Amino acid sequence: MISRATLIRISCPTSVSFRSFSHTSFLFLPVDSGVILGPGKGIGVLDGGAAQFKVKDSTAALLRSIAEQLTAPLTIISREAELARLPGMFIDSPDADTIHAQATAALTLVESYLLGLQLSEAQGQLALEPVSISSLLVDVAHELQAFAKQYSARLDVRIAGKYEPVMAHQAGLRAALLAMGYALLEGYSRREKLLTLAVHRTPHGIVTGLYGHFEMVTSEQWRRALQLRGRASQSFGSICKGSGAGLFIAETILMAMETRLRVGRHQNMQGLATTLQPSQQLRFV
Amino acid sequence: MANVLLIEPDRVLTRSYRKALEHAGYVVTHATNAQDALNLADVNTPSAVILELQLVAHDGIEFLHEFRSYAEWQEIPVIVLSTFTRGSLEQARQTLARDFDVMTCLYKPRTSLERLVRTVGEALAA
Repeated sequence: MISRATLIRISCPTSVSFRSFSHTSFLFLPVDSGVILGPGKGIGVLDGGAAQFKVKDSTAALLRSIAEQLTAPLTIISREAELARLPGMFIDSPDADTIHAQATAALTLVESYLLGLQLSEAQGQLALEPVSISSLLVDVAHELQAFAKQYSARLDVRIAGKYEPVMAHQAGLRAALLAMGYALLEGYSRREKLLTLAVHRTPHGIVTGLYGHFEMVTSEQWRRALQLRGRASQSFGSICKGSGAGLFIAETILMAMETRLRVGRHQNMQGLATTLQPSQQLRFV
Repeated sequence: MANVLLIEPDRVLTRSYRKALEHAGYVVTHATNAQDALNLADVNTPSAVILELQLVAHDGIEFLHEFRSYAEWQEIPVIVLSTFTRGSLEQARQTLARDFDVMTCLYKPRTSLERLVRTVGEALAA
């Protein structure tokens, strides 16, 4: 049991100016990880004290990440419901749109996780099928619409040209894209948000993902976040204020389909994407 | 009327907090990140600060370090309202109080609007 939290000072040279951040940063220690992380900073190791809780494997790490992530929509629902009950507050009922959108996001997170678990168990024997990526992106964007509205974000779907179906697990790919969408929409704090679901062709296959007009995450940050999954409260300090569980779930699902989530670019945007193989059968039709 | 600076990255959650605080008679300014919070404090010195530690880019600890480095902001009460696990918050409470004069740490999922408003009142009365 760690007897006290430790704040470790790490030098992080930045430009020093009035009312901006000075050259020294503190990292906040998650009590049970033995590893600390600050957004965009290096990783240090806690010395001294036994960890209260050790994450033993990736499944437990993902579960922990999901449990932490679920506190967000549930907190929103709870506060929204409470608002209507405050004495003298002239609100007839809680905001149903908010409660519905948040509940849907939470349920989707859980469902995606369970599907990811199921697909992981079948990895290597997973039955892939031809999936219309264009139709899927439109469908996912439609489902994310209500949640995007909550965070004043806009969704765009870019499908330039025609694409043959890709070999994928339809429900899994849909769940992965949804999980990514919810995580990214909920995590951004910028005033103007446009999240783009896009697809394009490369020599390696058909790439599809979610992108933005600003730096989302670097490959290094993504790599580090995967290492810290379930061990740090903020694995994606640059883009997600919470644990980013949706992104990890997407990664799990995609790995079951023998592909991965990677940092990628689409036109002038950056984001997270995966490469899928076109259906060879339908190519000859 | 007292001005409360709410530093909360989630815009949806912010709506509930803002409504409750404004209903209690406070003027609420809101920032989703640490840099915007500093800018807002610079324009209009808050009477109290409610701070989520898990922020995008610069985190709450960095904000506290910067915020407390200015003499005119050293006496402003800060209430941490965070989704860090309850255990983490409990363990950080003394350190945050000692190093940054944080008045109290509240575990966000289990802190009602009523309790938050009451805590702000206690902070301003102290």
